[in-house]
Amino acid sequence: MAESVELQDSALSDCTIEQLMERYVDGAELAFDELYRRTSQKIFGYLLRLTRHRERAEDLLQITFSKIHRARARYLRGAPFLPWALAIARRSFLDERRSAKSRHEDLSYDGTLPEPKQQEGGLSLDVQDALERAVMELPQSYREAIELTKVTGLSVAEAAEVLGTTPTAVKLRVHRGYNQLRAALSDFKRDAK
Amino acid sequence: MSQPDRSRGSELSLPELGIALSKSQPAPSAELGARIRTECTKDLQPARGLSPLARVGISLVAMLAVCAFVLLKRPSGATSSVLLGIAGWVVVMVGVLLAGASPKRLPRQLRLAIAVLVPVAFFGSLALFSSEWLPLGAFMTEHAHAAAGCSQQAMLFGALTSGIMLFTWRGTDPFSPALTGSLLGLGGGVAGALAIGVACPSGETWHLWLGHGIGVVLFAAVGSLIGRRWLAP
Repeated sequence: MAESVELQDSALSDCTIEQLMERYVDGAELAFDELYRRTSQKIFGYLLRLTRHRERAEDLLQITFSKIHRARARYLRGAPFLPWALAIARRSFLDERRSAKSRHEDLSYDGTLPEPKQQEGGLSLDVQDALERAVMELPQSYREAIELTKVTGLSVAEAAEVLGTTPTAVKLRVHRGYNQLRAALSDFKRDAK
Repeated sequence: MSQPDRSRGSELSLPELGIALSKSQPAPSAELGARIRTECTKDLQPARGLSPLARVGISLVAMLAVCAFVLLKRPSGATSSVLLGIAGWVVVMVGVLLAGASPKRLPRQLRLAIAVLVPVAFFGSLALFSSEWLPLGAFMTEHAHAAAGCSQQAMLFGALTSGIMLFTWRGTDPFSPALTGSLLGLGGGVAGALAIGVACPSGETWHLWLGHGIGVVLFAAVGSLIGRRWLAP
């Protein structure tokens, strides 16, 4: 049994994420390593945009993988892994936010509004930095829809499932979010001149 | 992978937007990765859980067992039309179960519609099958006590069925646990209402609504609350 697991581990790099999860469910440690390597950055990026706080995002990432570990027997073999994991991450975030209402996501631990992140020497002229900040300014629903579809790479239907809404609503949120981003970046460009 | 055109800050296309955001995707620290690995691989054994089919089977047995138990104990007055109605609702219950918990998930709007329309249809059918109608005032003064007794039994059977179903499906749905919980609670509530419907000879409309049907709405609501906690991993 152990030998067959080791043999399977040798071809882990060729496996899909779903196959890795199935092997992890079957008890293959190395499959977890590969699964974590391929998915943690996406889940962490999503949590970071939800929380806007690195430490909280790291805590939630640990909670998410802990829940994945405990729920691995209930993972439906063959079902898309990433939407499942992101839905767990999102629910962990909502639970955490509900249990710590006084610690609003826009406030730092001392209760003050965080300063906008700026590069040394004032406002950055870098489009990517401005884009990142503009995304942070978006309403959470738009930000999540853009994050899941444009960054994490989920389909509209999968993103809708994670967000508990309809594909049409996701498309609408992405579209509106994108329009807001364009406007924000347009302003930034004018300010920078 | 092409760089976004920095000279055209306001003209990013959607694909460019995705690329630009992906480039700034931060990674969790290596230390955190090590902690997570330790937690998730310690004494790792193959995990064996119930298959979705087994869960559906257990839920069906729970629903049908409650109805069958009362069916065996039914008074001789239970008519074939009542039994036919119950058989019809058992079919609906199975549909609700599959809509709520099947791995082949129905669209969210459809599941939401089922959660609303089934209780409405159930109350409608109770009104349709009722044989007597009293003004609410007269009912409250003369017959409320009997309805309260039926209500208690419907709640008992409903709680038993819903509890078994929610427990069986715990930790399986991170997507919409409240809605799934509501549908499972609805299934259990209908089972409880059908069970008491077999045993109770009363055909008065308010009695059927308040004594038999109210559990359906109640368990759908309670299922939603419990599902939010139990059904999400």
